[in-house]
Amino acid sequence: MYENYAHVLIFALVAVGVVVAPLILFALIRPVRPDAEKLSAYECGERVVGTPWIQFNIRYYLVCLVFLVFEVEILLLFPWALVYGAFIGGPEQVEALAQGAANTSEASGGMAFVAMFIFMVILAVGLAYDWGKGYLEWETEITTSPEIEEKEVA
Amino acid sequence: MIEEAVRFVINIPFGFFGSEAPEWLVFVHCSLIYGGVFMMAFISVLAFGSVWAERKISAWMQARLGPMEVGKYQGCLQTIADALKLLLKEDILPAAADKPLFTIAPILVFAGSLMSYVAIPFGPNLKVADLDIGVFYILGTSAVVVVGIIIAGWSSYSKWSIYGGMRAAAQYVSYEIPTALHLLPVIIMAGSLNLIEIADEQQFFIGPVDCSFLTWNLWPWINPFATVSFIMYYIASLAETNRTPFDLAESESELVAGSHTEYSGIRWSFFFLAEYADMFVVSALGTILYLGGWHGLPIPVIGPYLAPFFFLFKVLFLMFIAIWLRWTLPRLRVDQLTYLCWKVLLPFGMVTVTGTALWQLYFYKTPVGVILGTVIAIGTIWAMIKIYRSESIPEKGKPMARRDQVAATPS
Repeated sequence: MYENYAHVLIFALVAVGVVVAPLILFALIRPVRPDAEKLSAYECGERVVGTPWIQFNIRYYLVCLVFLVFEVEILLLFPWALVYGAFIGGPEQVEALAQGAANTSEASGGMAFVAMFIFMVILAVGLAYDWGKGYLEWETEITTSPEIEEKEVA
Repeated sequence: MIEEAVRFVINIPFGFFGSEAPEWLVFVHCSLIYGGVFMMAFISVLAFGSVWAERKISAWMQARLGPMEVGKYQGCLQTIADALKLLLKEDILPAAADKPLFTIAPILVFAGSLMSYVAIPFGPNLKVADLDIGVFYILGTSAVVVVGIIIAGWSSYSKWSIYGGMRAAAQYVSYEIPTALHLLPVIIMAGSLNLIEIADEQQFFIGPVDCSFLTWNLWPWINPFATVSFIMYYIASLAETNRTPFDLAESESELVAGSHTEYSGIRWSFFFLAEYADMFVVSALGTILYLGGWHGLPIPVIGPYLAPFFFLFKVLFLMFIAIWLRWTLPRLRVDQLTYLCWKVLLPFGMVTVTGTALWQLYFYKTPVGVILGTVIAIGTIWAMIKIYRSESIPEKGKPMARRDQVAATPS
């Protein structure tokens, strides 16, 4: 089983090699004629004013926080999803049910479902809180001056 | 066969000293041939092919011709000519850029998206690595791409780049949650993260005939919640790969080119190719999880040999829909983007996961479940047609104009 991860490691090295090799190889035949204009940042032909490393809208940070919360919670759902089939009896149980057999493992399956459902409710409450607090809105305040509005009306 | 050939060739130099090649050396060479030769050859053909296909399909959808000059048929060698031009173009490193990070970013983006391919099975025996955590691995490698894009945006020292990079970060990060959540129903149904097991779980034979096309996870009679999840996964995956209508991060009319504004030549082409590589990965993941992978070609004898091509056909069909949508839908606004992710896809994901768990408990592949699922599907389609046909969909308080009315309006 572990040799599959050796494949992954070797493939990762190959992938990096595939990207780096043309960078180095073709550097030998590429033209190199830099000048000040060419090396300046693109600003639609204007001279660059100020630094681009500015302060950013706090929304990006909020999205990041909300992401972190939900990603960790979804990560916790994956192991549950993996073993859930075993709790309700797996494919054999499904086959037996299809052939009309009595469901013998319903109790444990129900327990597994209830456990997940409680967790899902917590997740939903978290989402409802974020929603209610307005963390999921992206502020787009369109400020129109009265003159423009009058023009549009007319 | 390949392993024996490799062992024979490696043993030639060792034979001079009267010894045998160590087993790990044979393994490494085999792995290099599978991954480095076969997979890389496939990826390059796929990348060149899909770039050309996108240009041609775009052209045909807009009643243009698209590339026609290079190559005998329909400009089919255009992409190779473009690649040569990009390789030979001057490599510009902006003076103000953070040079180590600026160099690392395209490597991270392209290598990150290439690394997903190692886990994708093209057939029951046609794979490089058979990972037990295949779904997790692909979700993980696609997250590497985000890091690369943020680094590219920040290190370029250009306003366009940093805006694009920040937008891309917010978008990728948000849509990672619905993507993962809408994969969960299938994992519940298959009880595995191994892509081969997930595909095999969907197979269904009537005698020697592969009738798996009836039992793909996508179908409502298997699980109506998975049908919803497939559609939502596809929407989220479009956002994950930065395709229209979710291409805010590089919306060319407002942000020049987004996070890779300052990149040119070969470094730029890595960003470009990574988008197509990613598109294939998310489509392949959707195909394996929801469309039965390589199963479902109802041809008795030669079916198994055609299975990888059937898999490719399904993946390319999903990619074609992505190209189709590009010329159908307008780009979303950033508030619509967050709305769709957090207030539509995420709550629906919770409902489908809970619903799948319930369905699994009582109805999965039972006669009652098949009937119930079919009835739900027919009812939904009927309701949608009903809503579509009804003339008074309130949109901002006005009744929607019917198609024929719009067409009849004199210009």
